Amino acid sequence: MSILGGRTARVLQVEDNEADARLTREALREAGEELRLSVVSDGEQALAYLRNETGFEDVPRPHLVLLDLNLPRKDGIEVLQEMRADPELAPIPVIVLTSSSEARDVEASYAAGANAFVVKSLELDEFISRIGVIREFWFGVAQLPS
Amino acid sequence: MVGLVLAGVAGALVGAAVALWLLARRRPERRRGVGAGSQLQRAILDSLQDGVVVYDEDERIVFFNPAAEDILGVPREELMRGVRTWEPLRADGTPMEQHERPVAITMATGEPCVDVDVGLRHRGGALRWTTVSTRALHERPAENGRFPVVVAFTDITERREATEALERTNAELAQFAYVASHDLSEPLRMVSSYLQLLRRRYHGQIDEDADEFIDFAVEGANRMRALIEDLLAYSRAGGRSDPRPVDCGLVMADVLSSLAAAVADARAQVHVGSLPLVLGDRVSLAQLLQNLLANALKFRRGPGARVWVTSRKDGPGMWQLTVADDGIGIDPRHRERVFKMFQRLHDREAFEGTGIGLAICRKIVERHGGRIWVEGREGGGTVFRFTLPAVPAPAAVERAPDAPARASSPVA
Repeated sequence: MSILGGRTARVLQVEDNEADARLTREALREAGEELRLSVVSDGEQALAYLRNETGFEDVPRPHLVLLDLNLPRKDGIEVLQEMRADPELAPIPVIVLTSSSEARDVEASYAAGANAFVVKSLELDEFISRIGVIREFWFGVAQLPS
Repeated sequence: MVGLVLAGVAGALVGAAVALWLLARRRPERRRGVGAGSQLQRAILDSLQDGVVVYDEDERIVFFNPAAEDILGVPREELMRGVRTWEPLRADGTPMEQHERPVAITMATGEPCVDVDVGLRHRGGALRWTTVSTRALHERPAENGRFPVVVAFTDITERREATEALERTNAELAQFAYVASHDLSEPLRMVSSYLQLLRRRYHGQIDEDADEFIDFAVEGANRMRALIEDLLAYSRAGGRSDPRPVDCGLVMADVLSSLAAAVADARAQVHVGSLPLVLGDRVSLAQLLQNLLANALKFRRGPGARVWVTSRKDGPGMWQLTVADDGIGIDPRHRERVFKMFQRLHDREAFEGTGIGLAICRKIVERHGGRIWVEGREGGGTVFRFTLPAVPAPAAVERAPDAPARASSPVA
């Protein structure tokens, strides 16, 4: 299901907490097939990765971005705004994946151009199922930009 | 509150005493007859802790007692010369306009002012808080169309400072509880998620002890999570949103649908009577009813619990709501304790819970200006009663936009 026309689906996760990033990877594993998941730990790195700047010259562009909000140096909303203002990056779907469920974070994320806002569940089973749904929808149902 | 009422009563008494005393002074021919009384009244005024000042119709000070010198912060000789160096402040601490002062109002209109909070900024910068009552000395105005006025004021500085300190402490505590629980939940999510992952991946692969240890750890993390969630709920409970008319019948219908599974588990019959329109915050009231109903379902005697939710008028402007059950009941000795934080009457094996639910209920009811208490039920069980403010008559026709007319409400 995570195969796009024979290629492996690529996901970039922007997450500063290593344990949290690992948990997403494990949840993906528990949910079934693996995606190619890359992780960067702050907002500036995320933009450098997406623009193939120094240190990320050879990385292929991801099909989907999982973005935490609370990030060092450049927070998630700023990353979103810069992505949406950049014609090259604007089409990439971004899912905000955060532990916050504050209404103002939800609104700010959609206003800045997020495609979905998903709360990291406290319950592992629930988290695994949410990650599974994300994968199934974005790589099984939705048509992605080429 | 009692203090304010007393201040009002004292103000009225003082006004009467001063009126008599001045009357006696103004009529020299009757001085002999009322002289003793006049001396007595003077002694009473001198010994009062309340300040008393009398102004004539030109707003000149014609009388003051020793307490007034102290509260106004002006020495006797200066006050006698009419020196006024205090700056009046409104209850919120902003300067009070000349015409807003209770003295000015009564002098212009002849109408009394009762228990107005006024701050007095002394010329040295010190601040005294007072509650001021004024009344006209005579029923008719003087020749200039204005009324002579007697002013009585009580020093409430200490009381006000204590109230402010308490409010500050409460706000800090609420903030602390919120931050603590919010910041605790992040690391806890890691502990809890990885423990669950350990169990998911390695259950039955190490040995029986390992399985048991992991189970205990998962259980501990779950309990801590429940505590943190409830603490967060408590610190948010009854947050200060503008009170609006809320249809308790509709709220109860929502609560019943969100507790449908628990009702089915308990094989419970929930009888909901006609519930009133009250003034409050819909989300908090839903939490209140949900906690009480969940409690009634939890502390049941066996399968087939019965719960009754009813209401009746409780004096002017209040409704009393009742959630009664035929469950295990509460020992009369513990009836006040149940509303305290972290109080559990039963061990965890028998009934799960954090001991915060009823503390949240009490906080919500008290924030609404009501009270909550518990009684035993005739024939066994528990009755929780609480009061909530009714919607004042004119507003009763306006319904909250999200509340359709009762005729279409799906009250269960």
